[in-house]
Amino acid sequence: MKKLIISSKHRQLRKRICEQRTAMYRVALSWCNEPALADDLVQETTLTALKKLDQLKDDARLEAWLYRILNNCWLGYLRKNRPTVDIDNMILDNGEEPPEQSLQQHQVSMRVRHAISQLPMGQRQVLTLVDLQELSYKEVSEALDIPIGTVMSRISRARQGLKELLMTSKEELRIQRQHLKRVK
Amino acid sequence: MNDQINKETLDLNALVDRELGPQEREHVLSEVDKDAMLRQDLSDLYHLKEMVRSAYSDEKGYTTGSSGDWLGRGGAIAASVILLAAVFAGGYQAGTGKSMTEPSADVFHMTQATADPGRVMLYVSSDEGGKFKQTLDQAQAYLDMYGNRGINVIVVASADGTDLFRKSITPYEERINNLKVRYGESLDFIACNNAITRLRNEGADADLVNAVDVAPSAVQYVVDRLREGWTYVAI
Repeated sequence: MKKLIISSKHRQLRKRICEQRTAMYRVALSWCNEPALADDLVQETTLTALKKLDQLKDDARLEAWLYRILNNCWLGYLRKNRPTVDIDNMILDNGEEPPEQSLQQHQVSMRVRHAISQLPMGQRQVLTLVDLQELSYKEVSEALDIPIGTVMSRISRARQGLKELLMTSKEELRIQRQHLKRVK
Repeated sequence: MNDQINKETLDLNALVDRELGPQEREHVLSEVDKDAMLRQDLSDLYHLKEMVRSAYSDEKGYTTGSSGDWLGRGGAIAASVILLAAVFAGGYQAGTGKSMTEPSADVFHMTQATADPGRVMLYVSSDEGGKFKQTLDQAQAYLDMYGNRGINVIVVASADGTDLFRKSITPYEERINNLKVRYGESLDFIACNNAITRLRNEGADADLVNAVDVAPSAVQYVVDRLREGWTYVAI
């Protein structure tokens, strides 16, 4: 009977883990900026989570636990591929120019994503876990293994940085347009 | 980065992220109520949060291709991000001399992109530079242009902006009442009870134009609407 209960519980947890895959993908993509890598990270996280399901002490903490695994997978990748970089302060720039300002949804999203990619990794992780995944500060603290005070300061800095980046790109565009008008 | 983050900034972020307890929340809101800069900061934080959410809302996964709940949520906010982005950008256009008498093209794109009704909240806290007229012009322009697409507009006034709704002071009493008759439930005018109470305590006449409703706190009202997905425009 006990075995049956555990099996049923595991089935529910496995289902919840699988349901998180798309959400995890978005978070992973916001961290690494590479779709294929984000997909790999999610696959690895999912497999690890399913394998270590017995280690989850409290079902209510599934999300924080999952993102802790995702973070470990991401850190593992960075250590292996970019061993000399200070991870918390790392800025990922895929080299793509921010798209010309447009109010098409896709282009707005790309601008915001580009700005997010300019944030130091430590700030970006906190920002995306709070805003995309809606984790509480405590859950983020658990997932990233940092104090809550650090979560608070990073989210504040991340939003300040994001605001400045978005304002700057807007201001640059305004100046470019003025320049073009003068040239014409 | 070594520069300190002040407590106000931490508190505002915590408010936006629903991390404050009832008492802390009340305290922060009362501080926001007193300070126009904090109100703007709070609005910016809500917009940023929504922009981050929306920036990835169309991601379905690289090979996973599953469609979880977030897809539906993403679709629901897809339109708002465009308007939010436009408004966010618009918030920094104050010094550019851009006319506020017509809804911007940005909003037009937003309403084209969705069947959902637009929900726009105009916030005015003073008459500096003719803001009262600007507010009413802006509200009317939105409703004239997008009324047939179900747009809803709320004009919220607080602090010195309350004068817009005070019978004894406003030059716009007739216009406000006429607008309410013309647009009905699509348009609401909200005054802040805290501001009214302060005026009464100072012995001032705080009778309001008939078409105006009162909320206990304008800031609380704005925060609640922001959570519901309304777009905030500071005039």
